[in-house]
Amino acid sequence: MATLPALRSSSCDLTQICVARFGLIFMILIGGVGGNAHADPNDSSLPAPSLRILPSELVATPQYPALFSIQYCNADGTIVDITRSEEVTIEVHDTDIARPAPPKISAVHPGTTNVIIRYRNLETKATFLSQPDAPSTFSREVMSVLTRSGCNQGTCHGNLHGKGGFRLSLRGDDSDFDHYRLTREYGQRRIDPWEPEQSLLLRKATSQLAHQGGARFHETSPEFEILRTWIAAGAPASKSPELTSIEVVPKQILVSGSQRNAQIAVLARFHDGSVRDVTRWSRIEPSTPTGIVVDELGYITVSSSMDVSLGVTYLSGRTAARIVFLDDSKTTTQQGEGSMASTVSANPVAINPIDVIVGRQCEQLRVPPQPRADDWTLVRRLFLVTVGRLPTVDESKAFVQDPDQDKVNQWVDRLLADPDFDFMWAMRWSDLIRNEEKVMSPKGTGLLHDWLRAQSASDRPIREWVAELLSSIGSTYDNPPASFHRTHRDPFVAAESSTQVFLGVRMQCAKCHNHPFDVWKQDDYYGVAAYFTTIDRKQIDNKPKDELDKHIITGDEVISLLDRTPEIQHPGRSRKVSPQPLAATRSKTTLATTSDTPHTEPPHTEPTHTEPTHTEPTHTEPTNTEPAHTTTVLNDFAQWMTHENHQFDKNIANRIWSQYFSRGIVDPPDDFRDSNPPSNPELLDFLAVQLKQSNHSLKSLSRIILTSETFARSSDGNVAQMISLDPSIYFASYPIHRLSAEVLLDAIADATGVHSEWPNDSPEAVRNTRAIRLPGVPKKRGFLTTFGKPDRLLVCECERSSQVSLGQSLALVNGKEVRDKLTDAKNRIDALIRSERSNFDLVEELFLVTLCRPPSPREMERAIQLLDTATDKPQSIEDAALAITQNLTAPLYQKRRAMEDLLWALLNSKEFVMLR
Amino acid sequence: MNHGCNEFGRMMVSRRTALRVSAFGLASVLKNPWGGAFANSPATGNADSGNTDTGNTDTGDGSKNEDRRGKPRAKSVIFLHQYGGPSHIDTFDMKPNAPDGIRGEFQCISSAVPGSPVCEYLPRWGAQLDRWAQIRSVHHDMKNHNPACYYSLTGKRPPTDDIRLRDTLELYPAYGSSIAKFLKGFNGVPSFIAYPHILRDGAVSPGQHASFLGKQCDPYFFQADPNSSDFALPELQLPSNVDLSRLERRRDLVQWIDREVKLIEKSADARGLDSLQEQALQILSSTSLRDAIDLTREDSALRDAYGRNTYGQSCLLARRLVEAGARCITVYFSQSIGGKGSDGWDTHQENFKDLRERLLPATDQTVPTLISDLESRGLLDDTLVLWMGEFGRSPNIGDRDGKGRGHWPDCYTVMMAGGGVRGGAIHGLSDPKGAFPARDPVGPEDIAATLYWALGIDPHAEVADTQGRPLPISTGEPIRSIFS
Repeated sequence: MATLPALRSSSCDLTQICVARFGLIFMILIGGVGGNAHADPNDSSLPAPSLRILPSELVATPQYPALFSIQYCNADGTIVDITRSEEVTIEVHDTDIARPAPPKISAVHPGTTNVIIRYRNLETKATFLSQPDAPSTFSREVMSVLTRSGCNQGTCHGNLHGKGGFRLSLRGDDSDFDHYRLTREYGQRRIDPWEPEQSLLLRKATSQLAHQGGARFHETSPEFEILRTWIAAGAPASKSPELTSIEVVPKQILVSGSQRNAQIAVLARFHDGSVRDVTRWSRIEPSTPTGIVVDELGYITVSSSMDVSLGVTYLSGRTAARIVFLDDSKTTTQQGEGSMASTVSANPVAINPIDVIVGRQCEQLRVPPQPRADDWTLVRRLFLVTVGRLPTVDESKAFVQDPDQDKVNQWVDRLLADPDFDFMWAMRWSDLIRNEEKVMSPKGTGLLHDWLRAQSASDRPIREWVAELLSSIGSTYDNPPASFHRTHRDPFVAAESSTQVFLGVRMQCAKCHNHPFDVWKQDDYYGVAAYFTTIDRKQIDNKPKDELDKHIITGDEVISLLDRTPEIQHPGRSRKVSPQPLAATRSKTTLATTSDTPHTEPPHTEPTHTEPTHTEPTHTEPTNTEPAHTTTVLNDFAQWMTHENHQFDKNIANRIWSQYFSRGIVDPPDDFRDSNPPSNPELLDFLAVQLKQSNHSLKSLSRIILTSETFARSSDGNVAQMISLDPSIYFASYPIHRLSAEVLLDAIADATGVHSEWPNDSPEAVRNTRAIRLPGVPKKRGFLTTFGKPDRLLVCECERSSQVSLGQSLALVNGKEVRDKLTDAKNRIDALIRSERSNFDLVEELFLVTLCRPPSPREMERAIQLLDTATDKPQSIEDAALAITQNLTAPLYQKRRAMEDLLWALLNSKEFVMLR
Repeated sequence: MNHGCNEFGRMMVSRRTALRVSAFGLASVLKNPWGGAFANSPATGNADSGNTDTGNTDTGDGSKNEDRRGKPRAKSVIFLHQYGGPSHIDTFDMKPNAPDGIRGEFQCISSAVPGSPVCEYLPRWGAQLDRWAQIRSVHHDMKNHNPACYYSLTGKRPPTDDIRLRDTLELYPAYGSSIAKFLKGFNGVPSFIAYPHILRDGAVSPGQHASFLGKQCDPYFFQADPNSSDFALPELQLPSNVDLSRLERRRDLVQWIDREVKLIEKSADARGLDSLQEQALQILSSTSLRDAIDLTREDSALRDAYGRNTYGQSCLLARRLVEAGARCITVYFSQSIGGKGSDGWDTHQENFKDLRERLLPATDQTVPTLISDLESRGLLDDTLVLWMGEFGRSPNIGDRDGKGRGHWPDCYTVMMAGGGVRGGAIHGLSDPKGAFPARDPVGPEDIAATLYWALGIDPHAEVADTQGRPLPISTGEPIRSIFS
């Protein structure tokens, strides 16, 4: 959830550079300069190379020496970490107070002094605050040893069942619990105050006794000494002031140069105002486990360029740093040239902020943005991502031939108004809120799908309809949004689903313990779950075929709220827990959320969220809903979730973005956490703010995204090999993606001119000939399952698979769907061969209905040759009989077979199956 | 001509391994089923791995078979995976002398291996135990189904015991995918075939696909039920009006079109799809696979003997796929961990009732039938059969309803037969409670190494991950003492 951090030193502040660059870009834009947009290195607006030390205020005690990162800051905003360079000299002004002990500075006596860092002709200063040590305690020193050494990991003693009969709280969640286990359990067998070195704890941890976890530290290590001293003192349950926060510096840097190193430092602040450098005592876990080494003192070495985030844990604190190691083979200046030009030159009329933000990051990362894709590619892409179908021949041609400079805007407006745009979003949301027939019944599935579609059609503010979805009660047939509480049937599922779908966070871990890698606490989990504890469900006319299957509900279900206090038993507390929003987002919420607080509408002029809207054309007026003016515990929840909740806005904005790029800025889109940062934080923040300012309008935000140059970029920068700084992650090149199951099936249907058929047991069978319009998950769905249509049993985006498999190849090469459509007597080929059109025309049409582009000369030549030389004869009696019943003369028969082969090849080409 | 995974492998592995791999690729291109290929396979030239046996406590009859001992000879593997975690104490590692809260309700019966009693509900398997090797000291440290399942399907320890271990391309490939990388199927049949379930526990369990080896090494996977009357995979049958020359013409055309935009160079998915398409075309050009799939060609009495249920017919199909030329056939017992009232082996409740009434009878009907069927066809010596789950079950009874057993990765039993396994061999022992290995502990890494070694693949052969880093397919050592 980090934006670009405000770095503490002013000497080469990243944000400052951004501002400088930003200004520069705008000057170029306004001037309409297309060619050389590269900045002159002598330009005085750019800062000269400088030296920086982080943190700029060093803090140390004798026991906690200070670690720091010394950075050589290039003019382009990148740094080279020279912390361990031999050319660096560190001078301490008062050596009675501090003494350099590279790569650390040790405290000697309390006091304040200055540290001067010199490197070549540069120098920088930091203040150094030396403090006396506080007494070593159990809650701080001992606990940090247990976490740092990995003793309390989930795979070791932190496991629910412990390990070898010894259990600790997961990642040091509960120091009282751990103290008990270490000192009291099994007759104090783990410690020996009389002979501390002989304590089981130490002999196991140093592997003097067989220890499955191996040696965690050595007898000469500080870890050993801390534990030994503590045991010798009688293993007291001593406590230090509570930890209030931890901070990592640098939080975000771009590292250039062939030396791929970086030092990070972790600072911990305690309740009494004291600060410690705890780098040595933090657990630092990189997002990529391979190709990176983090040493004991937080010094990082990587083997190749990479974009890595480092999760940092110290006691109960969690934070993360992001470091991008740039590809050294590319130099800034060379990359800069063409790239900025292509970012901005194509459409000088309107500057889309998305392009400025993306362009800026591309330049920083030295990832050149691709030029604009050609119009044929662009129109295909536009149609596929918005309305889930290929453009027709006429549409493709009209777009390409449209001379209007502003044509993309006009076409985007048309597509946003197309009913299939709403079907695409109804499908996405139906996937996420688990709209499937088993629990919802076929009728209920259709009704909820209609309702979701109507929200998109009327462009109702997303926060408004989400609030209605989360808070509606009553009959799910009369009031479809009440279905959310039909598909999410217990407080835990509802808590997990609502936070994952609408906030993009995964809280499941916090059910049993504080989240090990994220900020979520068990209190958060139960606080959210408590909102859903008074929901009651009554089934009307439920007649499942299999009575043992409790997941099948065939009729209507009426959701109501019981008249009792919503609360839930927290496993770790004696009292029940009342509804509470997530702590981490609470500070960003402006409204009180306890149910006894009267709700007043926010001061701006948005429609109220409790008012039923009248945009839905198809469903009947709710008969069983609460009057609009009373608020329920679900209204409270919905209000917190959707109102002034920046995380909600970011999540929704990210989902919208991912719809059009097949990849989120945070990816996967439902996995927001510090250690999975957005690939471009500034872009995500911009979109979130934009969403909010547009009154949560899906279509407004979609319009900005779809009309950007970023969306129109070619995909030619992608490479099949995994590379470290993949341009598509930063949207410098449009990501290539396989068409989703439904879109692919519809594309095959359109190309062949034969609709898909659905089993009659679906009430929607008649009108839903297109797969993207299916409300639920049809029982017989071979092709769709093969290509990854989700069963809608999970709220996870991961349930929809975009992988490729042999089954898919077989389905395309010889599957029933493709085969039947290709050989259908009344398909497009039949119409084409009976027309009077030339072979040239026929070939062109087949290319346009599949790849949405005309064939190249070499393709045309090959295809014409195929048609001209077709001499096939019927291969079997059935085949011959078919030719007769279809009234095919020999030349027509031959042409038909050649055309089938060509269309087969087009449908099987990678270009057809992929969105590019 | 497509070389599938071998082609892919050649770019990645060390030059020495590469030479061996491509030599083997050539052997399979020459359509030399069964014979000859092993002279060139990665493991044979590798004498150095032959002397690093892990604690060999079995006495073996080394003298007579000196020349064959230690020589891998399996050509295929049938991997039977029981999701949920079968109880070791209630099946093969019975503890009749353990205290009440551990011993369990089941009685021991004697088996074909003296001194090795089995559960009373496995009489047929017991009578056949002299075909099997038991590894009774398998252990690891993953308590949750998804990570443990991944461990059992790949032999690679997961980075975390997270219940929702994410299935990323950084995780290891399924056994069958690693096998497919080194061994092509015979007669155009996919090397790795898996069915009829996708394992999931909340989320899809990792370890069921090729991961960083690339889609070329993914299993040919289907969910169709081999026990259903209309079981068929219609995409394997060319329509009557498409002959091979027409298929060839189509192939030529699609290659012509693919050369225009060159997506294969730009997208890993497109490249994967391309090689899978090539494989699909090869499969369609031959009849062996689709004949194998047609279970109606099988003798009805034998079908009955296997058991007319999904697991029984899946195992029968596995034998037919071995005959057709597949290298690794993975049969998943159930799609979920299950437990009481569901379909898997996660017997937290009613452990004994569930084993007695549901799990053991089905197992005792099917698995021994598979072995005797393979044997009667002369396939057993070439086919390694593995039977295992992701962990065992706790010695202490009393989970949940008081009648269940909890998860127990600390010690459990893996069964192997065929493919050169010495019948009656027992590797490792558990302690008197069945709680921890008492002798010769082995990890899933060693099971993986054993599997690869038995197939003639160097267990430490290196493959490249997504970043191009060389990784060994296994870090374990083969348990060679159980082979004759």
